[in-house]
Amino acid sequence: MASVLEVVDLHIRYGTGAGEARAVDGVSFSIEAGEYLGLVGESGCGKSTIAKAVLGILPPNGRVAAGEIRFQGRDIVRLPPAEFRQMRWRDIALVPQSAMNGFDPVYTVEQQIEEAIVAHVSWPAAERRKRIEELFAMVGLERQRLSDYPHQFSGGMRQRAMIAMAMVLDPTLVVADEPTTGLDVIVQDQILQRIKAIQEQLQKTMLLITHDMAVVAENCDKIAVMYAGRVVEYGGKEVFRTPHHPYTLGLCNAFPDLDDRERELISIPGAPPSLVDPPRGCRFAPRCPFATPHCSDVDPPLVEVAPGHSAACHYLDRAAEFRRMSEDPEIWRRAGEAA
Amino acid sequence: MQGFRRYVIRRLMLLVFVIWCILTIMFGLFQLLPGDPTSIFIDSNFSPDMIERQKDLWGLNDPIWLQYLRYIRNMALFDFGQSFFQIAPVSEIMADKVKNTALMIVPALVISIVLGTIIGAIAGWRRGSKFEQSTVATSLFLHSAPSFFVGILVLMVFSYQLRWLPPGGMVSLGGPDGFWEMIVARDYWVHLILPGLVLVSREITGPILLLRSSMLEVKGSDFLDILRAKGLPERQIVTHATRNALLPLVTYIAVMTGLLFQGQVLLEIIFAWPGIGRELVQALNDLDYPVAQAALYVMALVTLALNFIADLLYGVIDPRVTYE
Repeated sequence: MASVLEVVDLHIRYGTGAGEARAVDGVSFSIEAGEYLGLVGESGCGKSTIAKAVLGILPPNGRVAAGEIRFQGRDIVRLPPAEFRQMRWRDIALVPQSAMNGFDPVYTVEQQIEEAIVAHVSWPAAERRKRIEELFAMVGLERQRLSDYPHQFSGGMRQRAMIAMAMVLDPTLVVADEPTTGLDVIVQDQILQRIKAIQEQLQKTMLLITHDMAVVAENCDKIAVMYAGRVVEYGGKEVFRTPHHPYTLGLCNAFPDLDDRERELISIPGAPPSLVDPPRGCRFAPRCPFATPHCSDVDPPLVEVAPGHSAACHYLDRAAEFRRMSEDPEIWRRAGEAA
Repeated sequence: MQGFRRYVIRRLMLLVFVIWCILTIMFGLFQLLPGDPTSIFIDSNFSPDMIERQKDLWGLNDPIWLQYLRYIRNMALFDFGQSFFQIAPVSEIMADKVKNTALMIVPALVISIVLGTIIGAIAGWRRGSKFEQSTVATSLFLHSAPSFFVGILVLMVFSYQLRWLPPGGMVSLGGPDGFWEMIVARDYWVHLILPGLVLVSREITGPILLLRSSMLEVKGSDFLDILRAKGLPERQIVTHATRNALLPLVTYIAVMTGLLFQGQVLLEIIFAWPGIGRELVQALNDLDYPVAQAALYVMALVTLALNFIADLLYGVIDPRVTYE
């Protein structure tokens, strides 16, 4: 059986004033039925662009330059627009980054959920209403609030309503693009737990996009770490247990660990490279504390380090050594000074 | 709903206050005008005794505060007195002129708003297209073309050269007179074509440019991405965007209609349309105080009323507006 979502060597470019930015540059991953994949990386690494491409809502200046996005075996990039439009929300739904502005302010929440149903299936009004109430109950919202306007909801309620809207047609795949942006920490946690519960209960296939390593570690079955338009490490939970790529090491160090409060948080010095004119060789080399001249010359391929776990680094054999060294903040600081 | 009622009452009170201010200013202005009604109205051969009697009759010898109070009361009751030159109560003249002006403006307004909204929305949605570029260029051109010039031009072409359309007036001589008779008369519509066209050509540019720019603003909203992701047809997405872009138009329409009601002096003169603007100019030339006063007052009232309606309407079309 085909994977629910299979992204194969995807290249996405944005036309900008300074030239074409390669926002996504040869990314591949796949999600099997019922799996929860987390796509992690810094802002601007291309993770949201992938979400947009999967939903077919790339902005006008963005285009899929090469590669395939296969949904249940069919390449949706080259699907006729009308057919793709029918698939959206019915097969692939979105929990967006911007719940704050994700609803049209001049329509009620119910109207907006309803129009998603009407666009795809011909249920009678009573059935639509029943389904919407059912979902509101599932996400813990009172049904009286259905006739409210979005501005009458708090941020957390709005995001819950978004989740309800995403689930309304029982889609095969749900893409959650930074679903907790702009919410306070407690609400963030509630939302993520809600998503996780729904995922487990309904056996949903999910793609979670986030910059928060801890969130992925807590929720996902599979992880793809992205850096500057590429996947640098990909695999199951072992990606956190035994990270192999120096960037993944850096990300793990940059997030607090409740079990180990003594540990110092280390940030990765520097900033991601320009995507219009990316550096030759490994894109992380300029910020990498372990980089050698070879790194900035030759681009390392994604290599399997264990079954189902791969990373893109020239020195995978020294991963254990890097892991130990990366706990020393001094190493990173020196890399920052060199860069 | 209680908040709404309180808001309406507060707004009404403000309205009354503004009307009072306008009346008071007008009273002062007309006091400053040279001469007094008697010098215009009364034959110079009248004896001083007769003039005094006439002044007594009109209350012009009363103390100023009494005159002021009487003036306020009469204005509030729409009792504008008698015209100096026309044998009719001013309120009747006003009602007639307002009707005539409305007969010219309202059809043009409706066309401008409906068509302008649609064109502007499409132009904004298709940013960078040939359609948008030509729409903006045309609108700016029409917007800056002076209406007296365009008016004379179309008169020259369609009336004097081609002889397709009448050169002016609302109806032909002996044509229908009442409001409803005119609405159904072909004659009225034929007379409306030229002035209506000139009006639309200028007034349509406002909604076009406004909606285009507010559409551009809405186009950046995140919710449009969600609508697209929901797999809605393009038409429905444009409807959502337009509904949001319409909000600023409501205020604009109120202001525009108010301005139209007072600003059509030139068109009314060029097309010999017996409207309120022409009447005001005529009255000022003749020093026909009661008519001039009433015309100014009616124009102010229309503008205020439209703004008041716009304020109320805003709360209806934008659910985010509350009256708490």
